[in-house]
Amino acid sequence: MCDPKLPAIPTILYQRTSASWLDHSIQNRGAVATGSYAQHSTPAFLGRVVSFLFVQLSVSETTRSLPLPGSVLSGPENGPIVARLSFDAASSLSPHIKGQTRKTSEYWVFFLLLFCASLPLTSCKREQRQFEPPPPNPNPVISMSELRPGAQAPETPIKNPSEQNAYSVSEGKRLYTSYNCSGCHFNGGGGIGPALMDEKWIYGSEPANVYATIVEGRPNGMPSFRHKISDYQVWEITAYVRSLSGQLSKAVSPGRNDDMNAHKSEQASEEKKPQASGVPKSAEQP
Amino acid sequence: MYVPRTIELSLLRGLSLLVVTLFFTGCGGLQSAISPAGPQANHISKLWWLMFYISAAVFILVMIFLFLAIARGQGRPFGDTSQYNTPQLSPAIEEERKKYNVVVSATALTVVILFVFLLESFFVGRGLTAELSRKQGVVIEVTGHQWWWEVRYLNVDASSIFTTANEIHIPVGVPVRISLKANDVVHSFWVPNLSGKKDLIPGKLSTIWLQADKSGVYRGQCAEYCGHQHAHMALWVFADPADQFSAWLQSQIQSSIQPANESQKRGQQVFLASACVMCHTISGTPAGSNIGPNLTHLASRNTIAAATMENTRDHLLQWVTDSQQIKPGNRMPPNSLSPEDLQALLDYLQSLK
Repeated sequence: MCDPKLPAIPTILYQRTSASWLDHSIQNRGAVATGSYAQHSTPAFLGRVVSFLFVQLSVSETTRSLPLPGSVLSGPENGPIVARLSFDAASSLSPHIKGQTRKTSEYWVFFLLLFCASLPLTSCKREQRQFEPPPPNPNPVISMSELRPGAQAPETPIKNPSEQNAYSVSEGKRLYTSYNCSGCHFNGGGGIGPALMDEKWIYGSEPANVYATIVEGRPNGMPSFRHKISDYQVWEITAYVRSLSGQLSKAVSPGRNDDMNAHKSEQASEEKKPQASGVPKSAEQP
Repeated sequence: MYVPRTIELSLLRGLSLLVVTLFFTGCGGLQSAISPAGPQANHISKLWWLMFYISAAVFILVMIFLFLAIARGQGRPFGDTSQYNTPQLSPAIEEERKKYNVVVSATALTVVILFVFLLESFFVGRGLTAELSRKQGVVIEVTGHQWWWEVRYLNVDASSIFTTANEIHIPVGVPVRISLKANDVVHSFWVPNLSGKKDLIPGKLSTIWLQADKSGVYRGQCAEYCGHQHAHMALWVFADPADQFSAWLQSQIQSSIQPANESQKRGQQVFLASACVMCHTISGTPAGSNIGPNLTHLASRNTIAAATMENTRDHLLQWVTDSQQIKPGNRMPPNSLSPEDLQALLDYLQSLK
């Protein structure tokens, strides 16, 4: 960190002039086209572009203020304003740099910018949209055997593929209305069917329980949607139903309603601790 | 095969090809604002030509003066900036007066031109609605969905109301009032040969009037970016003679045709027992959901998937099994049906004249 000779920065400078970064990115894009690259390649590529721009901004400024012997680039005196501002702000804000040489602060700015550049990468998968849904599983893992009133979670909890993705949950929200779930459960408050936004779960709160409820149906009115709703859409609706009582992370829950309804968004609903409850009084057979 | 000898040659070839293609872009009559087929489009096209001629004249004038200025500076050696270094603090009054007059008259001319545009576009805007708004004609309600058009023919007689999709039939020479609604996001209804653009805004009812004076087929397109498949959200307007239009109207008011043979009967059962029934309506059957296009008279339409593909058996098969390959992101899920069920379903869908 404290090496006054600054060996790393000129290397990056040469990289830019030889355009090796560009070659690298083109190779990556080729990999995307052939399908061998990982799923999150596009955000990674964008992140690379952003970090490249940040690094270039910081580096070009530092090289200009340094009398580097044999420097390839001798740019104009007036550098980009953004770089100059961030550079000056950084060097004036940190007290321990003030007394030292300017070269140390340049390292500091470099790593700060690199850190900032990597920040946008953290939320990349939230909005990933997969238009080609996976084929439905011919052998469903969820047991469709017997009715189990009361909240027994299955032995091995099954992960809902849609619960990590904001787009899937919002699709679930759309389908909830489209497939007329709202006809009985309303906006989660219940009416003809039980409420979905409270802590009471008659048939269990795990994703697999909700999935089975939709696919199999339940006594006292819940119809079976087997063969009527595609597998991946059932998972999307499951994710949305769980978001109604705050079971999902706030990062993926829908943040607003598209209609004029005055109820709170799913993101704003407080997390309720699921409780086993028997069949409610209203649904009991006489 | 042609192999370009030099880069310059192939560049020249590509450039000339581009220029030639540019000439053809304005020629298509199917979707073009400058080949109007009705009074509204006529107004708009006149405004367009006025603006075109005036702007072209202004452009040519500017270019003439630019080249004059260049020609006047020809004698001066390149890079000679000596005259800028010693500013002339007391210019000749005659010279100044001349320059002043030129600037003032050019500014005045610009203001006049802009006022001509303003007035003309105001009167065109009035002409689009005022003429037809009091006349009674066909009333159609068009709802924009991601990414297709729901078309509903309104009528005082409730039994004559019917819904179709992506194809609008109108009688020639009769004013048509189209009520525009949106279901999800903002769309824009644009049939350039017949009228201007009008946005479809969720929660708001807007109205557009149009009339076709020439019978023919005109293409329309969503003109407001509305999501992934915005580009594949087109529609066709068929302007038919009155008798042809009323024949079409009568056929569309009917309920769907009942399956005639075993295969079609099985197809109907497949439709009612699978995911189709969750979104589509076929009148005369229990299928009555309004999420996707109404399929009551699917076989009478020329295209499917919002004018994306011709309505053939092959295209229907591709669409039903995996529409995400054709319009990625559209709302229709892929369907895995057994081959026999699929063929029966296609038989049934193709019988829905």
